Amino acid sequence: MLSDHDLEAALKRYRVAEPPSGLGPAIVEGAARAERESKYEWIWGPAAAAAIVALWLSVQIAMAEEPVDPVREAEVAFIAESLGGGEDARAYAELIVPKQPIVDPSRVFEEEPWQER
Amino acid sequence: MLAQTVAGLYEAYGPRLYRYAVLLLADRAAAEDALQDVFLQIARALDRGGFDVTFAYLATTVRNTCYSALRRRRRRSEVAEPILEAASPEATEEERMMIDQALKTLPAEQREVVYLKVFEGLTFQEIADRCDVSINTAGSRYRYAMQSLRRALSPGVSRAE
Repeated sequence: MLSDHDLEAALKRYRVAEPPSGLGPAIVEGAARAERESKYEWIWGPAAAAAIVALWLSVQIAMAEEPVDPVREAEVAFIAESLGGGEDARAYAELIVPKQPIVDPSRVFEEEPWQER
Repeated sequence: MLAQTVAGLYEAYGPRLYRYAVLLLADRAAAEDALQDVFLQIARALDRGGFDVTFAYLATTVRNTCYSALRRRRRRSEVAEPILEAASPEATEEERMMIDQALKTLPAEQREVVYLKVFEGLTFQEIADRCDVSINTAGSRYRYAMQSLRRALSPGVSRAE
């Protein structure tokens, strides 16, 4: 029966394999690549934030409704009701009531274009 | 700069860490992968903020990486590539193959203790500290490992005079 001493002596006749010659260069290359990649990491945060803001703005713009002209709306409702109401009557009323440009009351007292100072 | 630092660490500790990983994993290719993972982790950590990288820190990281790899490994891989090389004129190929195979059949925890005791020359207290176990556990693992190796090797290993 082998003693612990004999067994250890047997084990010490051998050594664990050495690393292959390419391992060191591969490890150093990995570190160099990590260093290169980290130099551009700072861009992604602000770029992502800018993309989110742009997306939010475009959604807000798309969701913005046309300003409602209350006078026209009343005319459309009157005509639709005169025609008997319902979706078809409404659609017809929308077609025949012209859309007027909405006048900004704040500009009413501005000078007319043909007036000169 | 970072690459130079890592190159210096590999030169100082790489081969010793590789041998540790080979014994833990009983697989040279897996040990190469483990070491590349560890040094990449170290490179990224150094890049975020410098800190003192010691051998003890690296050894612990290698150990943790190897045990994670062992947990992910579904079953023991039948690796033909030897993990031992001859280191003495008394070494024989037949004996090397027997010891190689016997080590591969040990549980990783026992193989680790054998490596640290026989090949690194650590005391049982140092082994206990490295493995984060009690000195009694380190001793037990070594005893069981030696019993298994003795059973596997007795007929074929030459006795010292």
